[in-house]
Amino acid sequence: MMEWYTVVAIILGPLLLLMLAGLPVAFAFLVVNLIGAYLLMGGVSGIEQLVLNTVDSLASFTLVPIALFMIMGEGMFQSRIAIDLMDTLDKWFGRLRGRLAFMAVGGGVLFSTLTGNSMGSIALLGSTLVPEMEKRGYKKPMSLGPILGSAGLAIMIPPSSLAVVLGVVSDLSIGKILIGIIVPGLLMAVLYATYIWVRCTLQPDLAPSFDVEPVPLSEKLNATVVHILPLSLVVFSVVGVIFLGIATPSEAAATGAFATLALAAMKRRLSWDVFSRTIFGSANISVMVLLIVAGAVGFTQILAYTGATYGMVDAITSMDASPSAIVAMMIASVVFLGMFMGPLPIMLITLPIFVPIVIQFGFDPIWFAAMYLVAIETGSTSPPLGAALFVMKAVAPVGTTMNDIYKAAIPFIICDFLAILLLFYFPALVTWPVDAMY
Amino acid sequence: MSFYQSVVRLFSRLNLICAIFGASILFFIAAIIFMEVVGRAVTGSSQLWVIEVSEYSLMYITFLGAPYLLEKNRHVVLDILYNSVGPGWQRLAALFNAGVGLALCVVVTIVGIGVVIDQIGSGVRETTVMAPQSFWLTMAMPVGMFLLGFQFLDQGVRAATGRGRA
Repeated sequence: MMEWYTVVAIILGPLLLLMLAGLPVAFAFLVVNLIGAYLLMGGVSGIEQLVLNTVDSLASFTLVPIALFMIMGEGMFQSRIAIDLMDTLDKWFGRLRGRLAFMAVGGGVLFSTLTGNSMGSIALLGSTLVPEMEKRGYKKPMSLGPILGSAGLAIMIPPSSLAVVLGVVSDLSIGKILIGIIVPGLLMAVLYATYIWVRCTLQPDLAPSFDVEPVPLSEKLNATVVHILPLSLVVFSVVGVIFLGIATPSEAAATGAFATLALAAMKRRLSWDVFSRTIFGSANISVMVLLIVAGAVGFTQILAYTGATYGMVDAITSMDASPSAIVAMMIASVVFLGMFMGPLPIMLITLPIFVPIVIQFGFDPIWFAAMYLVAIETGSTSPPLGAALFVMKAVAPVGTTMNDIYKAAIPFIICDFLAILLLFYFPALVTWPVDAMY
Repeated sequence: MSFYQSVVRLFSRLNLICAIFGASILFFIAAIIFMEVVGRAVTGSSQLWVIEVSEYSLMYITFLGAPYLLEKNRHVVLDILYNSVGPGWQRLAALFNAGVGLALCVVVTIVGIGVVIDQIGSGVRETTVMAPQSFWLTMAMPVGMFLLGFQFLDQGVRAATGRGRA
């Protein structure tokens, strides 16, 4: 019997090597699973078992929301409902100093309730707001930063695809996670808004005031009724139906998807072209995610089968450090990995190791899940290689350097760390809404 | 047009057809789950087959859609190292990845077909309410891996002949 660290080295080493060589993440997992199954699970019969395990792991109802939340996001973007939302916010913010930066935060929160994809939010907020911000003389820290920060809220506010992945990989209640991350998500938005307000007050030149055409109250109210109020139908169809016990979180993704399509139809924007691009686009993203999840679940099973998971948990729990310090180290390591890797691979590699340890220590795993997701969001906006930074670069105006984006992101990363600290010391921010619901 | 290019085009069309079929299944499961929620709220009764069909559909959505994404290079890739090396190393990495991917697909296709044949022979069924024959479910994997295998082969050929990234 091999020691656990030998098994981990045999499995994890080639996995990282294949990923770094540029093999798609899903196939890197499958290759390592194949070799692991052959060497550690009894040759060809191990591979046969791997095939059956992959089928079992994919044919799971808990994975359904990943695919269906994608329909919501794609539908919002393809039918331009998201653009309407931004236009309406624009009417309300008036002459407020830093209004476009606040709009980014407001838009980020609202998009987060409609889509579970932070990269889509960055692309949309970046392409619609940054050119206007540049035109109005906003400096980079106040144009790029708020978008980077608030677009990441899509991870934290339901529906969140990554929250579903977390629930599936860690075998935790998806419903509890979705409820538990609402307050942390809103807390982050408040921290971002506070930072923008303080910075704009201290350094007004970062976000110069500019005259905007006064919008009559009747027009603002009309735009709100036409463009924002109907969105409550979509929000209700996801979060409301879970709260009321009408649907499970998996089913709520379907009601959300249909509410989105219904809203697009009501706005007379659901042409065949929009519909087919929505469904085809969401299917493509779903395939990417589902294949990675299938590979990662097989990876988790091999780690567990060989005793590597137990060995790691045992080694960490017997370390000469307090359980809280170990949890803090785990969260820090997630942020660190996020500087180099995308959210999904990090989640799929670390969760099977971290969550059993957290449970072993007697902590609430939902509390840990909420901090973990903030850390994932933080990592994805962290230099040098956070994934969100490159999406921002893609939509930023010509001449924007990666250095500009790095500098703009840092204050919002500090806000994220502050949010993690608050959650760490006040677990009730996560656990209270969950306890109230369950 | 060479024979090889004709085969590439044929597989490309097959991939697109499979991806469209997979997307149609996605919409289908969204529709049946939505109707299940509405139906349950109205009549108070559940259709047990909805969950099962949705679960099985995920297999087909994934393995029918994956080859199209590989053809379009849209799978998630960690390209930190890949993008920081010169064209020579990139070509080498592309060849390596294509070879590893092809080997994976060949093995899983062959073993997968063996598992499907076993399941057909033994008549084994899923232990669920609908109890379908298990091979209907497993079959998606070797089919998808076969199509993926061809894409890896093509990526290897393109890398070897210097026609773009694998």
